[in-house]
Amino acid sequence: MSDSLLLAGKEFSSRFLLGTGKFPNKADLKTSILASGTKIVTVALRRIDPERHQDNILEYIPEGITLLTNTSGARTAEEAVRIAHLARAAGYGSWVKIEVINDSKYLLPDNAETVLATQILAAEGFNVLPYISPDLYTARQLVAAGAAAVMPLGSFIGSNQGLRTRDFIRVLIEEIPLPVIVDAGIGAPSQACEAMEMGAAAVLVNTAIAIADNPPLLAQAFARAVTAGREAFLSGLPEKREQAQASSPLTGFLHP
Amino acid sequence: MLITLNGQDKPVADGTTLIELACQTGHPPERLVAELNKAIIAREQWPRIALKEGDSVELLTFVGGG
Repeated sequence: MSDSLLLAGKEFSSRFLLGTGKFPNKADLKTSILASGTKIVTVALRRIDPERHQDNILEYIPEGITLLTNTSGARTAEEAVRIAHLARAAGYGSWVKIEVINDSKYLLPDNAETVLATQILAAEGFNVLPYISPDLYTARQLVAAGAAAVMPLGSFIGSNQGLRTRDFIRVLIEEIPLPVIVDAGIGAPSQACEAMEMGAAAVLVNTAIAIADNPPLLAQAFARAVTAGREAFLSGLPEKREQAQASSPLTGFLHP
Repeated sequence: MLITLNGQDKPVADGTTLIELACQTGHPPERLVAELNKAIIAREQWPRIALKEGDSVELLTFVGGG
């Protein structure tokens, strides 16, 4: 059964997205990409250090993987748009994750600026994946703006706290006719699995994998958890009950 | 002459082109993207862009990010 992730008309065979930040060594990044089977990785755009040449991250991203450039560092819609334009000029496609952050303590996204940037970039033909605090009205504005997906945060970036926003993500999954990709705060495969069981279209993980003792092993574990959660969602999970219901017949032998 | 590269003053020879500046950094030009005075310059044009005194150049590349 084919169960591809469909984003902006393009099919991806994996529902696991990997962030490439904070990997202590780039060889682990490449192995993690391969071990997870991810088809989309996020990257950022930064000034080069003219005095010091370092290996470019692109050398460690295998062929056929879609680059999703984030607009990290942007504090306004205008800055996010500038980064997106630069990323496209670099020649690696038109996929952009809008990330507009003003708050340095909690790193919460500025939803209003994010909507603005999405409107501009979607109209210019970018495939826009906006990173947001999970809010229904923001998500509806993003649908109207032409976003390819919405990316609500599960908990604070890099916190590994999992789905602290689960009730609000559930609302988006129910109400928003776009793929919902849970991004940020996912710290363990069980949490990724839970997001997928709820009906998320995909999950993006970075920090947990990058800082693990064995990143490729955890990347593989996450990918399997995402698949397991997706299959559970498609299976039609039964609802929780308050009381017991016997699995075996209670009569027919000792107490007929 | 003096230009600004990534926010830092940088002396370069008169007539230096954008492609020459990019190559001097040691980074492969095909991995870079450039802004000259806040305008994006397509890579194909870099050999034809001669820098002028006071120009502000940004050279950026992809790095790891979430």
